[in-house]
Amino acid sequence: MLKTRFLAAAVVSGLALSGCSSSSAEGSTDDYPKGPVQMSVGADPGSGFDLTMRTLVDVLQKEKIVDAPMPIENHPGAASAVWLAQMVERKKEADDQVSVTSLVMMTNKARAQSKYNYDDVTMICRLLSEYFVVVTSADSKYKDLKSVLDAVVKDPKSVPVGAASDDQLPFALLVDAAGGEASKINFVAYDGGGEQSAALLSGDIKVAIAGTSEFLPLIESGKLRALTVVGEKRLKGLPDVPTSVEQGYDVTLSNWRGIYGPPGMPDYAVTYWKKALKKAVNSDSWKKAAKKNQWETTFMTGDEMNTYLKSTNQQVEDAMAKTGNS
Amino acid sequence: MDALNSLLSGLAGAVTPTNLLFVFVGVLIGTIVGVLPGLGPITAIALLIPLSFGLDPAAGLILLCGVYYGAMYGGSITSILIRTPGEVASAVTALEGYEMAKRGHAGPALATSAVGSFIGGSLAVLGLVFLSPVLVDVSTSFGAPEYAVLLVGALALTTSLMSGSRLKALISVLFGMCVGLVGMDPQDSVARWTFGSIQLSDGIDIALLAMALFAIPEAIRNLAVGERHPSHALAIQRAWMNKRDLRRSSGPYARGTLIGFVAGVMPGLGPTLGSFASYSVERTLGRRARDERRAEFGHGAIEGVAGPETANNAGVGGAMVPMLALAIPGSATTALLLFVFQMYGLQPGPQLFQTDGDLVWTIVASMLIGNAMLLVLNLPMVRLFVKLLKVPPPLLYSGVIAFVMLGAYALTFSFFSLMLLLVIGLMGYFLQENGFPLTPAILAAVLLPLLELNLRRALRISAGDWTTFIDRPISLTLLVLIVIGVAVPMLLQLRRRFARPD
Repeated sequence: MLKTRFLAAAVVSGLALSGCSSSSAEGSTDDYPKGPVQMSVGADPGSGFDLTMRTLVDVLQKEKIVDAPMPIENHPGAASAVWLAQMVERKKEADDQVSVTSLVMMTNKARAQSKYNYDDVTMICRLLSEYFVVVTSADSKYKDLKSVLDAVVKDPKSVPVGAASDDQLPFALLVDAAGGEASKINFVAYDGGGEQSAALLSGDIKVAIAGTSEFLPLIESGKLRALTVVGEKRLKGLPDVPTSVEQGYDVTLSNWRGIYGPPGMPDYAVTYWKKALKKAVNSDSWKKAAKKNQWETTFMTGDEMNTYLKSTNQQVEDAMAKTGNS
Repeated sequence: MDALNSLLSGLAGAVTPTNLLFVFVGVLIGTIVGVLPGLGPITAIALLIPLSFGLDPAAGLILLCGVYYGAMYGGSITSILIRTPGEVASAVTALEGYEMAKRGHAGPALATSAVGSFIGGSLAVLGLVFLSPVLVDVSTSFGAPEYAVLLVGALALTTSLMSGSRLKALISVLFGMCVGLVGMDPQDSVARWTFGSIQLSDGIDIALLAMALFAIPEAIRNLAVGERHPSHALAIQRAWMNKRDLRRSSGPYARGTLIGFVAGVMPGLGPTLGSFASYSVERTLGRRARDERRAEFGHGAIEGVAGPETANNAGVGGAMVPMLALAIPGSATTALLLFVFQMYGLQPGPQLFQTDGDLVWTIVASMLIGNAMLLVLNLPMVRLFVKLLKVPPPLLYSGVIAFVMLGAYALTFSFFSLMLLLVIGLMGYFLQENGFPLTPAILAAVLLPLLELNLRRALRISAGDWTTFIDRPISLTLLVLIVIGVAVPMLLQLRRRFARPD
């Protein structure tokens, strides 16, 4: 019956915690955090955001980096834009609110599907990166990136490209670099790598793009062929797959995942979390988890992070302008 | 016989005391989250992932898979007793199951759903073991055009669910379609019917809709009547199936297993559609029958419980086929399980059975054991659950409302879900009181978005060419079958009219 109580407790604590508001009183570096810190996830349980946050909290507890309770709460909605708006509008200046985000934040904003972007909140760190990979089915006539892009440039309609709506940008940039019109690409929207794999295997689509981990099992088993990894450096997991830059297309957009707090989060809290997270990603348990999940830890804070976010956001806006805001 | 040997060695691996304990804990948690509305297997598995970090892969996966199929058992209990589906796949069980309970047959309904779940769940595991190599190719043989055609067929089948006024049923379908359209459109992310509200941009959760249209109207009706004591029929409940119940259930068990398993194998469909399809089939057959079934459908026919409950459990085994063999998840729950496999460093895909055969067979074997445990766990509970109906209606139905509101809140942890539940629930109440059937609405809300998704994908891929639906052999075959299915009964009716000109 222990499990029953565990579940019930999880539900009840979730209810109780989201009920109370969060801006706690003045604090200082020494005794922070005094109470529980709310670790929120703007997506469903089991999503990429959720698993990142749960792994992180697990590491922070296991390595005894943070003693305070860190209840995790899911607030799914509009590709995390619902929770982002809550953080900006309702949690201003709170020191006990931490959440997870990614490139989606920037694409949502560029598509006008969210009012807020990374500069409306307090970005604490970039945790990890995931690179995009372009794949075809193993029996496809396309053997390399060039043949795909040439075909798209020549007759966009004849090459349906499977991509979740957030993963369309890097492909649009590739087509643009190849001299094609990005707004004419025949994108077919899928909800992630599983659906895309099914569509590639059934012959519905010839080409697809998504984060590397989504296709890895089928690439390794030879059912799918990886044509390129979008970026500069080859990946450890896919050493034989050439990068887009190697093949002469100067596109390096990658997905990132990071941690943020509400706007105006007090300095002592920001400093605390920067330190704690740095310790976390350098621990063995994080490294083990990252390896399991195929995460490339690319931890970054401060000015370095700000420069990165700014240039990435610029890339997103440029790409969006080219695709005609698809 | 290779598969049989592997399965037996898997069984040997699964019957260690620790593994048996994890099977038991898994199915127990599964049953409980299945009972709680709004809290489905996905949430439970996500909550248990940190815990399973510390377990060895076999124990962890046995536990989490147990939660998945255990939830399919639990979902039907509240569907039958208080018309509150614990999870979406059990929504359709409420149709006949709750009617049975109202007539004092809650016991047989619960029993047939437990037995059907066991049969469907176990046979699907055997299907997974012995047919997997063949089915892998089947699961990728359907593309967007085939799914689109199949869903048109499914929508046509919903007409068989209509009883009473055709016009009211049609209005109900349109209402469901409107609800299904709310949110971002799946291809171009254009907001529809959201009234500028960001919370509506994901659409309306089917679990919430099922609670709002089934549980809330029924609870309000019972409270509005002001009856202080349970009605006579409710108070005297038969606790077990008799021979006739069992005989009537056997056909649905067989058909439900087949339908549910196939729906599970197809990544674009999943267990929910399997249980809906099974209900449609049973109801269509019931209508053709010349005995008491004809009149009973809609008023508590046991076939309408046995079929769908068998199908949704068979769907679990089916959904494991593309997940294990191709790393393609057919539903959100299998997507999460896929992630758990990867977390343990196991890579589902064509080579999984070679590289980690022992482990996979142990897990598969544990599913057989787990299904047996669920049967043993659930059957004695029937007597206990039936007692719930002796609770005076004011208490029981106030409890239902509180229970459902908790469930709706747990979906997004936002006040907005609660408001949505109440608004749609009130609409549901007025529709129900005025004789509108609500099942067609839920079916339409499930089917329409899927139809739109596949139709638009198919047309994008063909660059707008509609002949894609008749160019492809499978799609053409399905189209012909649908046309025959719709036309033949109409022609028969016409002939009957001409033959008897009175």
